[in-house]
Amino acid sequence: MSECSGGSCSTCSSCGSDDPDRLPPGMLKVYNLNQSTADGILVWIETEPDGDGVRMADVSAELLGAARKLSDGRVFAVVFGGTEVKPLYPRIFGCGVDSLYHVRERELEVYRPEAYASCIVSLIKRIEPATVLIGATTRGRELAPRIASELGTGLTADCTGLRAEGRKIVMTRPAFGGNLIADIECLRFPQMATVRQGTFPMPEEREGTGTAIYWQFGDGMGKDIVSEERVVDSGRDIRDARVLISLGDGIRDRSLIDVAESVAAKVGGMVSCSRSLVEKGWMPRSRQVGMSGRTVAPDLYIAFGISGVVQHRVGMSGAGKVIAVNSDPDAPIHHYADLSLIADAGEILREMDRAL
Amino acid sequence: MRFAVAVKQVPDTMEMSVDENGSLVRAGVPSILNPYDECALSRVLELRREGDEVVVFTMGPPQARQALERCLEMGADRAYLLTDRDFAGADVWATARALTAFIIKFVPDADLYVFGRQAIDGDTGQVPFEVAAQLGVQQFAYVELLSVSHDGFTAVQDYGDVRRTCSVPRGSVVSFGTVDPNGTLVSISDYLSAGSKVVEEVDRVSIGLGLYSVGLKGSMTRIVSTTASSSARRNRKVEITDPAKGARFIIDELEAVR
Amino acid sequence: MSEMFYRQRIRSDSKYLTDESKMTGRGEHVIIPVDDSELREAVRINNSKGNPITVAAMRTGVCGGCVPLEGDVISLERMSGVLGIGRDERSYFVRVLPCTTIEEINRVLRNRDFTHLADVTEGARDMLLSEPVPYFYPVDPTEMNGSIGGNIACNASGPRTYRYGPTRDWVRRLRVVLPEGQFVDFKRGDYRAEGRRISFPAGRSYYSFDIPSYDFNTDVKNAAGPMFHEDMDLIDMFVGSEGMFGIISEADVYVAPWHPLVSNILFFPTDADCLEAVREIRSDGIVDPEFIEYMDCRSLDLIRRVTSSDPAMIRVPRLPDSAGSALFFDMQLTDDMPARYARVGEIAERHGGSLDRSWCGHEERDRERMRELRHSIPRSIFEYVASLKGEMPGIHKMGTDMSVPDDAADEMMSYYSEQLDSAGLEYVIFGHIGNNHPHVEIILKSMEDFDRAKEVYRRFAEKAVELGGSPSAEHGIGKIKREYMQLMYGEEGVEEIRRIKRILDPKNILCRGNIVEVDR
Repeated sequence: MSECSGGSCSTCSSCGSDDPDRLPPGMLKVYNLNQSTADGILVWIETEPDGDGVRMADVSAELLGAARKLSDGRVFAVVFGGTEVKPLYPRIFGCGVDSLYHVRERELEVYRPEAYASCIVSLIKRIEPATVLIGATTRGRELAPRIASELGTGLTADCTGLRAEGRKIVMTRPAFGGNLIADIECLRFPQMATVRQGTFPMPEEREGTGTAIYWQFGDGMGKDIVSEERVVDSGRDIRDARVLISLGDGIRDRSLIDVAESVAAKVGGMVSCSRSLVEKGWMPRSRQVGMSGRTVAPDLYIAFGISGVVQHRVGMSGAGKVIAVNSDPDAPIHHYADLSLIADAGEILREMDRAL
Repeated sequence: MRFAVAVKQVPDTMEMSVDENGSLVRAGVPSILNPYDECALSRVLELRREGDEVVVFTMGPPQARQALERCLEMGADRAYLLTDRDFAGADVWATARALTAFIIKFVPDADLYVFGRQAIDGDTGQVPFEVAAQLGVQQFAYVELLSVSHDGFTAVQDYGDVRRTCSVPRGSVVSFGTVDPNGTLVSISDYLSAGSKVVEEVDRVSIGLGLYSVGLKGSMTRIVSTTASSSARRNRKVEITDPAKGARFIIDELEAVR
Repeated sequence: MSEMFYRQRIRSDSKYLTDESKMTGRGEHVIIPVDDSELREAVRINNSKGNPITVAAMRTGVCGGCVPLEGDVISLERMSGVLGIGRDERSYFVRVLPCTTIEEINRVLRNRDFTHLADVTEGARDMLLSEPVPYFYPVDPTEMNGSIGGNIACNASGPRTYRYGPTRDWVRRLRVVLPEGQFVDFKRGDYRAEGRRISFPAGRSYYSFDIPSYDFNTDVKNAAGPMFHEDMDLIDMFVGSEGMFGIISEADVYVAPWHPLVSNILFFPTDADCLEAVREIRSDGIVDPEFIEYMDCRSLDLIRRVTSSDPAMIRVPRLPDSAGSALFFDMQLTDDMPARYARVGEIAERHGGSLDRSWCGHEERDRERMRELRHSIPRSIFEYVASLKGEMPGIHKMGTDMSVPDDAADEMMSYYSEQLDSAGLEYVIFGHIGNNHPHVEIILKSMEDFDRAKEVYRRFAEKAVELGGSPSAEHGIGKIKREYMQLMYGEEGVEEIRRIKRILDPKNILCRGNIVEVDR
């Protein structure tokens, strides 16, 4: 950005009026942080139930690790919850957090996007971070835009890379099914991004210490939650699997899912799927890979009978190695695989089950 | 009751093909109503009772009218097309800003503002929540089921790990998380009755926004550069006649990974 | 043998030994010529040795026409592509090599990029580019990956034959390599028969012979062998002759302006209601459909059953529960749609349907969904048969391909169900009802079913002929349906065809076994 300081500059048309940073006088100016002092990175730590307690979501830990490397300034984190969050402190500080803001309002122990956003906004106004990072999870994707909108700042969603240029962060995200990579910058502080899981390495398990601050927040907006039920999810997350046996349209016979499960068990992997099997009710949504499902990055991704439409490929583009088995030689998946087998997916699966 | 449904016209990514270099061919790909929005609209139409009104609106180039016509065929009552050269190049913020300004000016009294989860051309579903924040109303994401209750609505939301039932006050923003793979086929009667409904065009001035609040000039993010992603897959293609041989191939790869 | 062209031994599992009929044959070598001169050379050498050759292109036929019984296969797979564009007093035409697919022809026309093509007549490319609408090849044989050569050889037709007629009507010019290695290159109108005697030169030879005395049935959709009638055009003898008289090495086919279409499906309570509506729509000048396709009650039930369990069929639209039968038809989008639809509504309501219980779509995506519904029937049958295979290893299916004139349509339809019901067979009926040419698919669960079905099938063929129809309306005769030639033209007619075959192909080398059997 060209540095052309002084409020009167906005009337000057000689240096490119295209820069929306300089509004004409009288234009609505949304709350804007002081650019000269904004510094450091704030990360929202998402927690997940884990037995009786809670654990830190992997993507949050990854972001904390990345924040430490991206910024010379301070790393802030905010977490919501009651006393059950306390055991996480050492791990959080071990990831390099300087100041942890712990919001311990009873009202906010349950996720409420409106109040969470207002609370984080109040915090941002206090600490004036240069960057706010949020994991691109279902909740993160809902929360981040609400925060960005209340602050009137820009937001880049689903980033797959971040790069620091001083305080500026260049955000990278795939466009058009991963065929293009766009570098995006935010024209305002704080710069905001949601980041996909797996973008950054997991920081090593280390215990650390730092300052924890209890953050008080008078509730912004109530929300009437009638009931909440945890959907039973059979154990592991496909995002953690090193090997994924992924099934798609070409799987015509429901019994093949059991065969795939058996193969996966033998090789220590998991079974995932494309959208159509979820829509058929054959597989739970938590196993779906793709734009409307999860983004995975296993070492080996074996796609059985998956045609490989754009929406699916977005979710699997981070895989170390891709093998595609599809009887249709023209299926797009073959363009995105290291090894393509033109064969019937079911037959190969059964054969693998026998051979292993 | 009155429902305002925001929709988007998108290229039919299912129709996109891949050329020899592995990049998407967009030429000749038809534009369609975003399937998530189509699903959201059909859910709203199922809720509609006698006397209710369903308004649809979109921001886009003049040809986005087709998406609105499709909505009218599906049964929407009125349609607004926010189209203006100044709207071009809008990011999430500028889009939400224009939609919010439109809502305040044209449908301030809607009982529900409805969105689809995301556009299939790569948007990541943030517009609904930015609009909710700007309107200062509650937001309900990933809605699976919506029903009318005595003082508003009841929504069932699917957060993946949690299913949550909430009561939705009037005037909230709802984003449906579902898409119907079968899509919707309209009847000939619907098609004919859409012929008498009009699509009203709305420009920047009529929603009362300044030149620097919309489009590229009003955006808070900017694309610095784009690069073609290197698809570094080796791409070895093997035609398999003997399944045992194919299985062997994969097992070898599995062992290499372990 | 000279190695001027590619020639290789055929393995026993080779793709060159089968087609979509799943019939398999035997062959020695496959020859893959790259151009006309290699093709002629290959034919000449084989003819001099008396070695039989069978011609193949995309192998999408369903009657075994390209399946060799002995000798060599000539695969035209490398003779593919659109060469140029021309225009004559009738319309624009494209010049194509025989193995060009219908899909490819339409792709070239749709993309409107003619830079690599030649002007067959002066300035034709530019003229076509300046037309306000794109053009297309209008005969839609359903299988768009079939070759144009194959389509011409069996006079293919499909749903759009209702408006555009069969392939025959669109052939302007042919270049044909004859069995003795000469070739003849001629347009429609160049050589006509005088009465029943036809004469034409080819290379250094001059042929002159009497054509058979029977008249080919053009009143109905008909793909049963070559066409003969008084004062006929030579081109019609080659169209539909399935390679028995010569090999097409280049063709000009006409193209037609493309108009935006709207697809419609009307639902009716029963099969009878639906068929009555068909009759009215067909005779109505205002509705003016592009084609009419029928789906009976059993087809709809089958679709419901199969789509609920097969994830690959997830995009097939969900049928309304009340639907007892369905009509699928396209209309050109015109300014008077309300009036035309009003007429559709009147007709529908007279037979228990209504415009509320219908689908319509003008967006390509919706039209595709409706086509998918129609195409899901053969696929559902396939899946259904496959699903029963465990309990009934002998299960099989058998499909008919018969057309009759309009006034005999009802009689034929009731004959179908009467015969099938009394034989106790399971079946579905769907397809090109506009041309009175529905497909009856019989599902055979045992060997006894098979015998009964064969008997019923033969009776259908006889009935179709008796009613003035054709037992092979669009698939051709090939090697599988040869007995129909006897049925239609009698032993005498068949013998007359053999006589011509002996004149043009004295050593009987070309496409042995197609249409008629000829003794050595």
